[in-house]
Amino acid sequence: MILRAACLAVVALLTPGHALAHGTITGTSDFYDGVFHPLTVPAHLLALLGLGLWLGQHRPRELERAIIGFAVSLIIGSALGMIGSVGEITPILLAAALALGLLVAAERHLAWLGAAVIAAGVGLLVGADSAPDGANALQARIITLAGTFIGAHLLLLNLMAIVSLSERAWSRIAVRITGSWVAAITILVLALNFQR
Amino acid sequence: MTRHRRLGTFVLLLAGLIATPALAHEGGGAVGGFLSGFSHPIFGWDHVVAMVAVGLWGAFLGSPAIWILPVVFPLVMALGGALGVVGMPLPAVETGIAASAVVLGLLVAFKARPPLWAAAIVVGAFAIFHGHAHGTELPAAANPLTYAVGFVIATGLLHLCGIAFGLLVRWPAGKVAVQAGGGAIALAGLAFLTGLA
Repeated sequence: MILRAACLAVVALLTPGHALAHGTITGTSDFYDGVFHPLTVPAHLLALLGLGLWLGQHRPRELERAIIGFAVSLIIGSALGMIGSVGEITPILLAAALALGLLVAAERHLAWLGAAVIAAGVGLLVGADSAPDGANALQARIITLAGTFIGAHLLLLNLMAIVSLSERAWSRIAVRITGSWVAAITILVLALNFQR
Repeated sequence: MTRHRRLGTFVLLLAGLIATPALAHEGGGAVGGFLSGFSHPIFGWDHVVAMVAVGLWGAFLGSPAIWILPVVFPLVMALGGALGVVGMPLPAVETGIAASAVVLGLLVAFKARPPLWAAAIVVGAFAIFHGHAHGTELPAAANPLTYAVGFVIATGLLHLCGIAFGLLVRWPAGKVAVQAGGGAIALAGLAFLTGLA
Protein backbone atom coordinates (compact mmCIF):
# COMPACT_ATOMS: atom_id res chain seq x y z
CA MET A 1 0.00 0.00 0.00
CA ILE A 2 2.79 2.35 1.03
CA LEU A 3 4.78 1.33 -2.04
CA ARG A 4 1.83 2.16 -4.27
CA ALA A 5 1.42 5.54 -2.61
CA ALA A 6 5.13 6.18 -2.96
CA CYS A 7 5.02 5.29 -6.66
CA LEU A 8 2.12 7.68 -7.19
CA ALA A 9 3.99 10.40 -5.33
CA VAL A 10 7.05 9.72 -7.50
CA VAL A 11 5.05 10.08 -10.68
CA ALA A 12 3.55 13.31 -9.38
CA LEU A 13 6.93 14.72 -8.40
CA LEU A 14 8.70 13.66 -11.58
CA THR A 15 6.25 15.48 -13.78
CA PRO A 16 5.89 18.94 -12.30
CA GLY A 17 5.27 21.85 -14.61
CA HIS A 18 6.67 25.28 -13.94
CA ALA A 19 4.45 27.35 -11.67
CA LEU A 20 4.07 30.54 -13.62
CA ALA A 21 2.34 32.59 -10.96
CA HIS A 22 2.35 36.32 -11.34
CA GLY A 23 1.74 39.30 -9.09
CA THR A 24 -0.84 41.07 -11.16
CA ILE A 25 -3.95 39.26 -12.29
CA THR A 26 -3.94 39.41 -16.03
CA GLY A 27 -5.75 37.41 -18.64
CA THR A 28 -8.61 36.48 -16.34
CA SER A 29 -12.19 36.71 -17.44
CA ASP A 30 -14.56 39.47 -16.38
CA PHE A 31 -16.04 37.16 -13.76
CA TYR A 32 -12.71 36.34 -12.11
CA ASP A 33 -11.67 39.99 -12.27
CA GLY A 34 -14.71 40.60 -10.09
CA VAL A 35 -14.02 37.66 -7.75
CA PHE A 36 -10.49 38.89 -7.04
CA HIS A 37 -11.43 42.57 -6.86
CA PRO A 38 -12.08 42.63 -3.08
CA LEU A 39 -8.69 40.98 -2.52
CA THR A 40 -6.74 43.38 -4.70
CA VAL A 41 -8.14 46.72 -3.54
CA PRO A 42 -6.51 47.54 -0.16
CA ALA A 43 -9.47 49.50 1.25
CA HIS A 44 -11.94 46.73 0.35
CA LEU A 45 -9.70 43.98 1.71
CA LEU A 46 -9.08 45.77 5.02
CA ALA A 47 -12.77 46.64 5.50
CA LEU A 48 -13.87 43.08 4.74
CA LEU A 49 -11.16 41.62 6.98
CA GLY A 50 -12.27 43.89 9.82
CA LEU A 51 -15.95 43.12 9.24
CA GLY A 52 -15.40 39.34 8.97
CA LEU A 53 -13.34 39.20 12.17
CA TRP A 54 -15.78 41.42 14.05
CA LEU A 55 -18.95 39.60 12.96
CA GLY A 56 -17.25 36.29 13.79
CA GLN A 57 -16.89 37.47 17.38
CA HIS A 58 -20.69 37.74 17.66
CA ARG A 59 -23.03 34.90 18.54
CA PRO A 60 -24.28 33.04 15.43
CA ARG A 61 -27.89 34.08 16.22
CA GLU A 62 -26.89 37.75 15.83
CA LEU A 63 -25.33 37.17 12.43
CA GLU A 64 -28.34 36.22 10.33
CA ARG A 65 -29.51 39.78 9.72
CA ALA A 66 -25.97 41.06 9.33
CA ILE A 67 -25.29 38.60 6.49
CA ILE A 68 -28.57 39.45 4.78
CA GLY A 69 -27.92 43.18 5.28
CA PHE A 70 -24.46 42.85 3.75
CA ALA A 71 -25.70 40.87 0.74
CA VAL A 72 -28.61 43.19 -0.03
CA SER A 73 -26.63 46.39 0.42
CA LEU A 74 -23.76 45.01 -1.71
CA ILE A 75 -26.25 44.60 -4.57
CA ILE A 76 -27.74 48.06 -3.99
CA GLY A 77 -24.27 49.62 -3.81
CA SER A 78 -23.22 47.86 -7.02
CA ALA A 79 -26.34 49.17 -8.76
CA LEU A 80 -25.64 52.71 -7.56
CA GLY A 81 -22.05 52.43 -8.76
CA MET A 82 -23.29 51.29 -12.18
CA ILE A 83 -25.75 54.17 -12.49
CA GLY A 84 -23.23 56.94 -11.92
CA SER A 85 -20.22 58.28 -10.08
CA VAL A 86 -20.48 57.91 -6.31
CA GLY A 87 -17.55 60.09 -5.31
CA GLU A 88 -14.49 59.24 -3.24
CA ILE A 89 -15.30 56.16 -1.16
CA THR A 90 -11.82 54.88 -0.25
CA PRO A 91 -11.26 57.12 2.82
CA ILE A 92 -14.70 56.16 4.21
CA LEU A 93 -13.96 52.45 3.73
CA LEU A 94 -10.57 52.87 5.40
CA ALA A 95 -12.17 54.70 8.32
CA ALA A 96 -14.66 51.82 8.63
CA ALA A 97 -11.79 49.29 8.52
CA LEU A 98 -9.99 51.19 11.29
CA ALA A 99 -13.11 51.29 13.47
CA LEU A 100 -13.79 47.58 12.86
CA GLY A 101 -10.15 46.64 13.64
CA LEU A 102 -10.39 48.53 16.94
CA LEU A 103 -13.75 46.88 17.75
CA VAL A 104 -12.16 43.46 17.11
CA ALA A 105 -9.14 44.30 19.30
CA ALA A 106 -11.46 45.48 22.09
CA GLU A 107 -13.87 42.54 21.47
CA ARG A 108 -16.82 44.93 21.60
CA HIS A 109 -20.11 43.42 20.45
CA LEU A 110 -23.16 45.32 19.31
CA ALA A 111 -26.77 44.20 19.39
CA TRP A 112 -28.01 42.51 16.21
CA LEU A 113 -29.35 45.78 14.81
CA GLY A 114 -25.98 47.52 15.19
CA ALA A 115 -24.12 44.59 13.59
CA ALA A 116 -26.62 44.50 10.70
CA VAL A 117 -26.37 48.27 10.10
CA ILE A 118 -22.56 48.21 10.07
CA ALA A 119 -22.46 45.14 7.79
CA ALA A 120 -24.95 46.82 5.44
CA GLY A 121 -22.88 50.01 5.43
CA VAL A 122 -19.69 48.19 4.49
CA GLY A 123 -21.56 46.21 1.82
CA LEU A 124 -22.99 49.40 0.33
CA LEU A 125 -19.57 51.09 0.18
CA VAL A 126 -17.77 48.04 -1.25
CA GLY A 127 -20.50 47.57 -3.87
CA ALA A 128 -20.56 51.20 -4.92
CA ASP A 129 -16.77 51.28 -5.22
CA SER A 130 -16.59 48.02 -7.21
CA ALA A 131 -18.45 49.09 -10.33
CA PRO A 132 -16.18 48.45 -13.34
CA ASP A 133 -15.16 51.09 -15.83
CA GLY A 134 -18.09 52.50 -17.80
CA ALA A 135 -16.24 51.82 -21.06
CA ASN A 136 -16.93 48.09 -20.66
CA ALA A 137 -20.05 46.53 -22.13
CA LEU A 138 -23.04 46.36 -19.77
CA GLN A 139 -23.08 42.57 -19.77
CA ALA A 140 -19.36 42.38 -18.91
CA ARG A 141 -19.83 44.85 -16.05
CA ILE A 142 -22.72 42.86 -14.61
CA ILE A 143 -20.68 39.64 -14.82
CA THR A 144 -17.76 41.37 -13.06
CA LEU A 145 -20.07 42.62 -10.29
CA ALA A 146 -21.51 39.11 -9.89
CA GLY A 147 -17.91 37.92 -9.39
CA THR A 148 -17.34 40.65 -6.81
CA PHE A 149 -20.51 39.59 -4.99
CA ILE A 150 -19.20 36.02 -4.73
CA GLY A 151 -15.60 37.02 -3.92
CA ALA A 152 -16.66 39.39 -1.14
CA HIS A 153 -18.93 36.75 0.39
CA LEU A 154 -16.28 34.03 0.17
CA LEU A 155 -13.87 36.22 2.09
CA LEU A 156 -16.42 37.44 4.63
CA LEU A 157 -18.15 34.13 5.35
CA ASN A 158 -14.91 32.16 5.62
CA LEU A 159 -13.48 34.64 8.09
CA MET A 160 -16.68 34.65 10.13
CA ALA A 161 -16.74 30.86 10.21
CA ILE A 162 -13.09 30.59 11.29
CA VAL A 163 -13.55 33.16 14.07
CA SER A 164 -16.89 31.69 15.20
CA LEU A 165 -15.29 28.28 15.57
CA SER A 166 -12.39 29.70 17.62
CA GLU A 167 -13.62 29.01 21.12
CA ARG A 168 -10.35 28.48 22.94
CA ALA A 169 -9.00 31.40 24.96
CA TRP A 170 -5.75 31.68 22.99
CA SER A 171 -7.52 31.66 19.61
CA ARG A 172 -9.85 34.45 20.74
CA ILE A 173 -6.80 36.46 21.78
CA ALA A 174 -5.21 35.72 18.39
CA VAL A 175 -8.33 37.18 16.71
CA ARG A 176 -8.06 40.33 18.85
CA ILE A 177 -4.38 40.72 17.99
CA THR A 178 -5.21 40.25 14.28
CA GLY A 179 -7.82 43.00 14.67
CA SER A 180 -5.17 45.34 16.06
CA TRP A 181 -2.96 44.50 13.07
CA VAL A 182 -5.82 45.35 10.68
CA ALA A 183 -6.28 48.68 12.48
CA ALA A 184 -2.52 49.38 12.45
CA ILE A 185 -2.19 48.64 8.72
CA THR A 186 -5.27 50.77 8.01
CA ILE A 187 -3.76 53.74 9.88
CA LEU A 188 -0.70 53.51 7.63
CA VAL A 189 -2.76 53.17 4.44
CA LEU A 190 -4.84 56.21 5.51
CA ALA A 191 -1.61 58.15 6.05
CA LEU A 192 -0.38 57.12 2.58
CA ASN A 193 -3.71 58.20 1.06
CA PHE A 194 -3.47 61.53 2.87
CA GLN A 195 0.14 62.02 1.75
CA ARG A 196 -0.79 61.54 -1.91
CA MET B 1 6.79 -3.46 5.33
CA THR B 2 9.86 -1.60 6.65
CA ARG B 3 11.64 -2.34 3.40
CA HIS B 4 8.77 -0.90 1.42
CA ARG B 5 8.75 2.19 3.59
CA ARG B 6 12.49 2.69 3.07
CA LEU B 7 12.10 2.24 -0.66
CA GLY B 8 9.26 4.76 -0.67
CA THR B 9 11.32 7.31 1.27
CA PHE B 10 14.31 6.81 -1.03
CA VAL B 11 12.23 7.28 -4.17
CA LEU B 12 10.54 10.35 -2.73
CA LEU B 13 13.91 11.89 -1.89
CA LEU B 14 15.19 11.11 -5.37
CA ALA B 15 12.11 12.65 -6.93
CA GLY B 16 12.51 15.75 -4.79
CA LEU B 17 16.11 16.10 -5.92
CA ILE B 18 15.35 15.94 -9.62
CA ALA B 19 12.20 18.08 -9.57
CA THR B 20 12.34 21.27 -11.59
CA PRO B 21 12.19 24.55 -9.65
CA ALA B 22 8.89 26.45 -9.39
CA LEU B 23 9.38 29.88 -10.89
CA ALA B 24 6.66 31.53 -8.88
CA HIS B 25 8.49 34.49 -7.44
CA GLU B 26 8.99 38.04 -8.49
CA GLY B 27 11.53 40.49 -7.23
CA GLY B 28 9.65 43.74 -6.94
CA GLY B 29 6.05 44.90 -6.65
CA ALA B 30 3.81 43.54 -3.92
CA VAL B 31 6.12 40.71 -2.90
CA GLY B 32 9.17 42.98 -2.86
CA GLY B 33 7.30 45.51 -0.71
CA PHE B 34 6.20 42.83 1.73
CA LEU B 35 9.69 41.33 2.04
CA SER B 36 11.21 44.76 2.49
CA GLY B 37 8.70 45.66 5.22
CA PHE B 38 8.96 42.24 6.86
CA SER B 39 12.75 42.34 7.01
CA HIS B 40 12.98 45.95 8.25
CA PRO B 41 12.24 45.21 11.93
CA ILE B 42 14.02 41.84 11.80
CA PHE B 43 17.32 43.10 10.38
CA GLY B 44 17.41 46.12 12.67
CA TRP B 45 18.77 44.80 15.96
CA ASP B 46 17.60 47.88 17.83
CA HIS B 47 14.05 47.03 16.75
CA VAL B 48 14.42 43.31 17.44
CA VAL B 49 15.56 43.63 21.05
CA ALA B 50 12.86 46.18 21.91
CA MET B 51 10.07 44.06 20.35
CA VAL B 52 11.27 40.96 22.16
CA ALA B 53 11.45 42.98 25.40
CA VAL B 54 7.78 43.97 25.00
CA GLY B 55 6.86 40.28 24.71
CA LEU B 56 9.07 39.33 27.67
CA TRP B 57 7.62 42.04 29.87
CA GLY B 58 4.08 41.08 28.89
CA ALA B 59 4.79 37.47 29.82
CA PHE B 60 6.27 38.62 33.14
CA LEU B 61 3.24 40.74 33.96
CA GLY B 62 0.93 37.83 33.11
CA SER B 63 -2.64 38.01 31.79
CA PRO B 64 -4.04 40.33 30.47
CA ALA B 65 -0.78 42.30 29.91
CA ILE B 66 0.67 39.35 27.97
CA TRP B 67 -1.63 40.15 25.05
CA ILE B 68 -2.68 43.75 25.74
CA LEU B 69 0.87 45.07 25.29
CA PRO B 70 1.28 43.36 21.86
CA VAL B 71 -2.12 44.85 20.88
CA VAL B 72 -1.20 48.36 22.03
CA PHE B 73 2.26 48.38 20.46
CA PRO B 74 1.33 47.94 16.75
CA LEU B 75 -1.55 50.41 17.06
CA VAL B 76 0.59 53.18 18.54
CA MET B 77 3.47 52.19 16.25
CA ALA B 78 1.16 52.74 13.28
CA LEU B 79 0.35 56.24 14.58
CA GLY B 80 4.11 56.92 14.76
CA GLY B 81 4.41 55.45 11.26
CA ALA B 82 1.66 57.77 10.02
CA LEU B 83 3.61 60.75 11.40
CA GLY B 84 6.64 59.51 9.47
CA VAL B 85 4.63 59.01 6.26
CA VAL B 86 3.20 62.54 6.28
CA GLY B 87 6.68 63.90 7.00
CA MET B 88 6.05 65.24 10.49
CA PRO B 89 9.46 65.39 12.18
CA LEU B 90 10.05 63.64 15.49
CA PRO B 91 13.19 64.56 17.41
CA ALA B 92 15.78 61.96 18.45
CA VAL B 93 14.08 58.96 16.83
CA GLU B 94 17.17 56.74 16.94
CA THR B 95 17.86 57.75 20.56
CA GLY B 96 14.26 56.92 21.45
CA ILE B 97 14.56 53.48 19.84
CA ALA B 98 17.82 52.70 21.66
CA ALA B 99 16.39 54.06 24.94
CA SER B 100 13.36 51.78 24.51
CA ALA B 101 15.67 48.74 24.62
CA VAL B 102 17.44 50.07 27.73
CA VAL B 103 14.24 50.92 29.63
CA LEU B 104 12.22 47.85 28.63
CA GLY B 105 15.23 45.58 29.25
CA LEU B 106 15.70 47.05 32.74
CA LEU B 107 11.98 46.72 33.50
CA VAL B 108 12.22 42.99 32.67
CA ALA B 109 15.54 42.54 34.52
CA PHE B 110 14.16 44.13 37.70
CA LYS B 111 10.76 42.42 37.45
CA ALA B 112 8.94 45.78 37.45
CA ARG B 113 5.19 45.35 37.92
CA PRO B 114 3.46 48.70 37.35
CA PRO B 115 -0.32 48.90 36.81
CA LEU B 116 -1.44 47.80 33.36
CA TRP B 117 -2.27 51.33 32.19
CA ALA B 118 1.21 52.53 33.14
CA ALA B 119 2.83 49.61 31.30
CA ALA B 120 0.70 50.37 28.24
CA ILE B 121 1.77 54.05 28.32
CA VAL B 122 5.48 53.12 28.56
CA VAL B 123 5.22 50.63 25.69
CA GLY B 124 3.06 52.99 23.62
CA ALA B 125 5.45 55.91 24.06
CA PHE B 126 8.36 53.91 22.69
CA ALA B 127 6.22 52.46 19.91
CA ILE B 128 5.91 55.99 18.43
CA PHE B 129 9.68 56.10 17.80
CA HIS B 130 9.79 52.64 16.25
CA GLY B 131 6.80 53.44 14.03
CA HIS B 132 8.26 56.75 12.90
CA ALA B 133 11.47 55.04 11.78
CA HIS B 134 9.44 52.57 9.67
CA GLY B 135 7.07 55.25 8.43
CA THR B 136 9.71 57.53 6.95
CA GLU B 137 10.83 54.66 4.67
CA LEU B 138 7.31 53.61 3.75
CA PRO B 139 6.47 56.02 0.87
CA ALA B 140 9.68 55.00 -0.94
CA ALA B 141 8.90 51.28 -0.64
CA ALA B 142 8.26 49.18 -3.75
CA ASN B 143 4.67 48.71 -2.61
CA PRO B 144 3.79 50.81 0.45
CA LEU B 145 0.74 48.73 1.40
CA THR B 146 2.52 45.38 1.46
CA TYR B 147 5.50 47.08 3.15
CA ALA B 148 3.11 48.15 5.95
CA VAL B 149 1.60 44.65 6.14
CA GLY B 150 5.10 43.13 6.29
CA PHE B 151 6.41 45.28 9.07
CA VAL B 152 3.27 45.03 11.23
CA ILE B 153 3.35 41.21 10.95
CA ALA B 154 7.11 41.02 11.61
CA THR B 155 6.66 43.22 14.69
CA GLY B 156 3.89 40.95 15.96
CA LEU B 157 5.99 37.84 15.40
CA LEU B 158 8.90 39.39 17.31
CA HIS B 159 6.53 40.05 20.22
CA LEU B 160 5.51 36.41 19.98
CA CYS B 161 9.19 35.35 20.27
CA GLY B 162 9.45 37.43 23.44
CA ILE B 163 6.22 35.98 24.83
CA ALA B 164 7.36 32.42 24.09
CA PHE B 165 10.67 33.05 25.86
CA GLY B 166 8.87 34.89 28.65
CA LEU B 167 6.61 31.91 29.36
CA LEU B 168 9.65 30.32 31.00
CA VAL B 169 8.86 32.44 34.08
CA ARG B 170 6.68 29.57 35.29
CA TRP B 171 9.85 27.86 36.49
CA PRO B 172 12.38 29.40 38.94
CA ALA B 173 15.32 28.83 36.58
CA GLY B 174 13.26 30.23 33.70
CA LYS B 175 12.55 33.37 35.71
CA VAL B 176 16.29 33.91 36.09
CA ALA B 177 16.80 33.28 32.36
CA VAL B 178 14.11 35.85 31.46
CA GLN B 179 15.58 38.44 33.81
CA ALA B 180 19.02 37.76 32.34
CA GLY B 181 17.46 38.22 28.87
CA GLY B 182 16.11 41.58 30.01
CA GLY B 183 19.56 42.55 31.28
CA ALA B 184 21.15 41.57 27.96
CA ILE B 185 18.56 43.65 26.08
CA ALA B 186 19.29 46.67 28.31
CA LEU B 187 23.03 46.28 27.64
CA ALA B 188 22.40 46.02 23.90
CA GLY B 189 20.30 49.18 24.11
CA LEU B 190 23.12 50.91 25.93
CA ALA B 191 25.50 49.90 23.14
CA PHE B 192 23.10 51.36 20.54
CA LEU B 193 22.69 54.51 22.64
CA THR B 194 26.41 55.12 22.99
CA GLY B 195 27.19 54.21 19.39
CA LEU B 196 29.18 51.09 20.29
CA ALA B 197 26.87 48.94 18.16
